[in-house]
Amino acid sequence: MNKAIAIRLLLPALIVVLALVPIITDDPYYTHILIMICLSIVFAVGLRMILTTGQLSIGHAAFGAIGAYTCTLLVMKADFNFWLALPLAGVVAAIVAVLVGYPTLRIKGAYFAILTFALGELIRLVFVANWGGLTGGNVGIMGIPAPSAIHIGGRVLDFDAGVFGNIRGYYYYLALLLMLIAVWVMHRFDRSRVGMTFRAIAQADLLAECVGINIMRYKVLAFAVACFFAGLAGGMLSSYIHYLSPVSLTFHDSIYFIMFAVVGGVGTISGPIIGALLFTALPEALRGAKQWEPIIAASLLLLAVLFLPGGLVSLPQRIKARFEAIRGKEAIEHGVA
Amino acid sequence: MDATLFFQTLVNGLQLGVVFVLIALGLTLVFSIMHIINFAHGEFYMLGGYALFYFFAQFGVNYFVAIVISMLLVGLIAVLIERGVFRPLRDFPLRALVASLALVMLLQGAGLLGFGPEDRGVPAVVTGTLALGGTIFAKERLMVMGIAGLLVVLLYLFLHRMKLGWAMRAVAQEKEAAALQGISVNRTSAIAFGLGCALAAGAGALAAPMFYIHPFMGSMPVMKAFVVIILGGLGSIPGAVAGGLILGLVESFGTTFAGGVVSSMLSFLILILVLIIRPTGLFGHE
Repeated sequence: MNKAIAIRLLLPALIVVLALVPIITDDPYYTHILIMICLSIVFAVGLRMILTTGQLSIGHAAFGAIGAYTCTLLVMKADFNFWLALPLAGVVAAIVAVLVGYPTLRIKGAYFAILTFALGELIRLVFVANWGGLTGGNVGIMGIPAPSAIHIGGRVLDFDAGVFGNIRGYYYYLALLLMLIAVWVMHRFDRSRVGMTFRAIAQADLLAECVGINIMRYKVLAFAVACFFAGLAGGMLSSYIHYLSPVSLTFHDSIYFIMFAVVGGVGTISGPIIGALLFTALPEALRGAKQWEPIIAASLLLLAVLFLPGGLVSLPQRIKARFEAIRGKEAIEHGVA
Repeated sequence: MDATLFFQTLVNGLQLGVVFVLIALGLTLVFSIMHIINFAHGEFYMLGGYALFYFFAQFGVNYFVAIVISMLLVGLIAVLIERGVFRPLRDFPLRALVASLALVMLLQGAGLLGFGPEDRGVPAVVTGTLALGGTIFAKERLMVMGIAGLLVVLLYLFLHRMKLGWAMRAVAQEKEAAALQGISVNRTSAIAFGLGCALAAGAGALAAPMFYIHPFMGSMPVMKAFVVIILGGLGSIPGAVAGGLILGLVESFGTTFAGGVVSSMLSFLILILVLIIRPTGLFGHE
């Protein structure tokens, strides 16, 4: 398999190039876009994991918001170190996912989609309600501090100071790390027996149950892992933007995550990555005509749903199949076959 | 709690509920016949509001004529969307749902581009209030209730007295059997989708003089409409009527006694609990 070898060689090369980005450019604008792409990928691969079990969540951004508020409140109100608060943000999002997932993941198809939509709104309203004056209501929380500096052998990694002259350098590395971990974990799941079980449940849940698979346990697992990473991404996002409000991560973001996964393609893990790359870069490419961005993005989603259900990653295969069909037809016409 | 406040809250709730019913009826009609969850339903409500704004407030057309025009116009747009988007996805409910999410973004983006981001006001049609034993009725709201109630009755009569309505109910019950009786499933679905969206447009047109109009005005009503149709039972017309009135009362009493945020939370909590405990809703059946 020379394709496998090519991937084995290309992947480390790609990671090295990505790691060198702060050295290649110190432009804060491009660094910002790359950070947002990395975080988008974390959300998108998680959403795809839920989709592989056959469930569509329209409330994925809300779990990012749970992570963001958890991280921010732990740091600002409870004086937690950021590096402890960030993993806890993921854990809290995952715990909520398990608590919500057990009673609700039984519900399938459109019903589950509506339920997650309502759940997302409910979670947003909890942050709006500002119980105990914790979340600041609609105003949100301003002045969220940068991640605390890390001391390694006399060196200080200070997020405010930047790295290699790139003021967002450390944020970029954190986002890159989160993205690589998320993609690696999801990839391992994909290749494992557990990932196969996810797909089996999506294809025929009754059959899966009949062969002795505890389908609820697997669905909750996929949901919790995806929400864990959403929580991490949300936690990092709030400390990077230094601001958080109930509209930081909403229903609209959830639609975008679905768009990343569906337009890119949910068949392989590269699909949502391509989707996140495309749609995070799109508004930057359209900077002169920003009001057209949602229209173009929505049109692409509509076209993908109608004409390319496998997403962009299925395009080469479709073209190849079409090409072979034409060749086969010609061969028959010429009497070769 | 004193009686005047109670009756006022009750009346407010019913007024709110009737508008919910109107939005939810279209949504549930579309679901029962096409099995499509149309998240973009609120955007047809928005288009109805803008159609009324242009025809009534800008071109000076009579208010009632403008409502009819806005319903017809939006219904026509909906029929075209059904043909291009939802008909090819008829056998793929989840893909159709994602397509409706794309339509939310598309129509909101188009609204922002075409109508502008600013809030627009539509002048009141009737003003003044009516006091009945301490309870105050705004005449405008009474008229809205009347028209909405009329539309609900007309829809009921259409579905139960007219041949096309019978055809729709037949398609909703059993698509293949209906087709065997010579009913065109394609045509019936297109008309049902157009009718459902026209009802949303009617609700938007009725709400326009009471609220401001803007490209995102459909987001909130469609959320409420989902609560209504899940509560009443997906696809059930009597369920949508009962669910709408119940939600109107819950919101009205909730807002009066616990504030707007808590009352909104309550409505989403109702949706989630109904789906967990009794997915068929109050009037639904499997």
